[in-house]
Amino acid sequence: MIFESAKIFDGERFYSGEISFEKTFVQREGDRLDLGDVWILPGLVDTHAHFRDPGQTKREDLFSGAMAAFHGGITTAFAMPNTTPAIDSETMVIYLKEKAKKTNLDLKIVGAITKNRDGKELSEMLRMARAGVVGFSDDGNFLDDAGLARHAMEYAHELGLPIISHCQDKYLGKGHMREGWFSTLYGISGIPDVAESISVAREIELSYLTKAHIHIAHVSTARSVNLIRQAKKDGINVTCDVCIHHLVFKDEDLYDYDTYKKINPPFPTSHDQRALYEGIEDDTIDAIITDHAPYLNEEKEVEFQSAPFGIIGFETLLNEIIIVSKNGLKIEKLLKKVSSDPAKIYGLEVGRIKEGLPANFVIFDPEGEWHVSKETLMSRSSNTPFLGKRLKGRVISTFVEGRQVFGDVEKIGKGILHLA
Amino acid sequence: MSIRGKDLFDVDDLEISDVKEIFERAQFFKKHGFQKLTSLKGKSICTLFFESSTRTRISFELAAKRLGADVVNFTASTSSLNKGESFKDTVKTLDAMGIDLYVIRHSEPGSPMMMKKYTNSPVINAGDGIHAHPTQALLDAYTIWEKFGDFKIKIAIIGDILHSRVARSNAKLLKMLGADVTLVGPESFIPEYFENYGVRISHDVEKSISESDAVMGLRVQLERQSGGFFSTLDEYNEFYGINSKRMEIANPIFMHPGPMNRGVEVMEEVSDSDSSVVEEQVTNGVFVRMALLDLILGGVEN
Repeated sequence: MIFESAKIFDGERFYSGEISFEKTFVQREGDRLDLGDVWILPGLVDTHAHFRDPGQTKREDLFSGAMAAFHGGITTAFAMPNTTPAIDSETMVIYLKEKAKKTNLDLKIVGAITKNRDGKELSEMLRMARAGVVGFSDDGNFLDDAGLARHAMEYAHELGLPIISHCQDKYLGKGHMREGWFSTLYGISGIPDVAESISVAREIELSYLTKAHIHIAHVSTARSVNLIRQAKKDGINVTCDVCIHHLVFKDEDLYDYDTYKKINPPFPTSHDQRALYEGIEDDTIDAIITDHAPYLNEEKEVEFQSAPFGIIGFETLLNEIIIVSKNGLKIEKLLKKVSSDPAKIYGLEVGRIKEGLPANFVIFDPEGEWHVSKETLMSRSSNTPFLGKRLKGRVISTFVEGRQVFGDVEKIGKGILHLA
Repeated sequence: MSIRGKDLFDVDDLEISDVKEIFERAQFFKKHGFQKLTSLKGKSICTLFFESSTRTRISFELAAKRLGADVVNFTASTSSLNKGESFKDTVKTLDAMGIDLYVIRHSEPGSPMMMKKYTNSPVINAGDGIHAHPTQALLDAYTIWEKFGDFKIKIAIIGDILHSRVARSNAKLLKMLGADVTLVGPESFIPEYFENYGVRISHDVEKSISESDAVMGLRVQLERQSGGFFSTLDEYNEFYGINSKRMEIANPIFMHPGPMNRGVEVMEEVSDSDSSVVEEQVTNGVFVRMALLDLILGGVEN
């Protein structure tokens, strides 16, 4: 099969041309389909997601999660270990990998640093590495014990794998939104920005000590970005990502106490958000993630401070990228941060359209629209602030290893495209 | 502008003209004393108290009954919440029974707004977490208006500002009405963000009181000690307490939303002195709430 388009993004830049593929991108002749101005993107790489499988499958499981990912154009996703039980053993890693084979999703597993993610004893990192984890994280829980964190980093360094750190001091981190004028005005207890940067600073120092690759997850403050920028200049092995929602929403958006906007780390102040944009611009921030975190409506439809933190993100990722691109960041830059750049952090051979790589790609109509509803979302959960809204940009179809796993590209031909 | 049929989540839902109208109506009711009226006859008002508060609930209940309304009370400790029913289902259930107006008190900020997803009846916020307490601010402002005749005054609000919905609503309303407001207390209780209300921040309690026409004390709760907001109540009292020595320089009026911790934020020599208007605040509270209910539910014209 050969697809032609005026807008093919190869992971670095747009060009006009064609892609041909079997299981991988190859040079061959075959049937042609001209997609006109519709974009062809590499299958997106989301390095931070919660599949809720096993143990919390009312919210999501690998199958619904995979469909939601495909609907959002994501073909490679990382499963964070905060499941029930936690992904803290080789057995759990093997279980998930086997189950993932039935979904077509290129699922990568992140193993817990400590047993049950409770920060007390190291989990069997060597065995989990043997089973193929891509990194370690106690996601959601910052490992308070710096001594334990040091040894975890030593193992991670020996294994050549990163520690993915959710940086938040638990004593300063008690609260429900970012501390500032708006938390004062709305009367919601605030989490100061330094709850994050204090922990970022510790991780940078431990990386200096152990030489381990430390990856800071969902950076959300100016001070964190500055610390990481300086650490990179100093040659520290540090990378980081930002959650797409933090580029779209700000602390002031919580004026309506909508629990579907409640997330941890909380939405940034406008000052912090500017720093996040600058961090993307100068590549201090390496990747953009969704932090896809499904919750049931009944869990979210409670009072603001009683509601859990988390928003789904797979299915609106490209829509939000379009929104962010209108706020001044280049679309190529943003697309790179959800394809080739995250792949580079973890040394994965995905996220690009290049001969020999798996034929994972997305056909995306930037002029299309879709209505976000419980019916149109493929996720089992619908906890998104976009619920009920119409969004610009629509994934027409998603391919994994040359096979269409979502959508109906055959129906598309020149002329009828925008009628869909 | 009229507030008929509207919600009151916080004071910034009101225009200055609305505030004037509320004050005039409250003054009218006060002139008539505590006689029973019938302007809300046939209306059902529900007080929903998810957080215990005897004084505010009774004040609203009296206000509603004096206007002839039927009042039902929901308190979380004696009701379905104990059986695990959600906030959402509680409101939906009550609404199905036909309530004309809700008064809600809740420990969670934003819960009055959240309620509006499940009811079309007007909602009055009787205190939501540390966010807002608009009827307290209205009765405080009414009391000041009665005492001074206008708002060309200096007022110091002293105590745990950070955890106070009274301080937040008062800062907004008093600024709106033109008063000069200073928030006073240790830094741990007044984050710098409070300056955005257009108020001043001071850590010098003596100087602040000596420059004020009115002083409002706020409750300092013992439970804040464990969070490190202060060391001992005794030390707090010595450095930030409102005592007669600090009051005698300018002799301002003393206000307090209650309940008071005598010996902590205020000494009895002040709270029970002639400069104290605490009981008048409570009395005015009923009239201000009568005025609000009457104007929102559209009772007969006076």
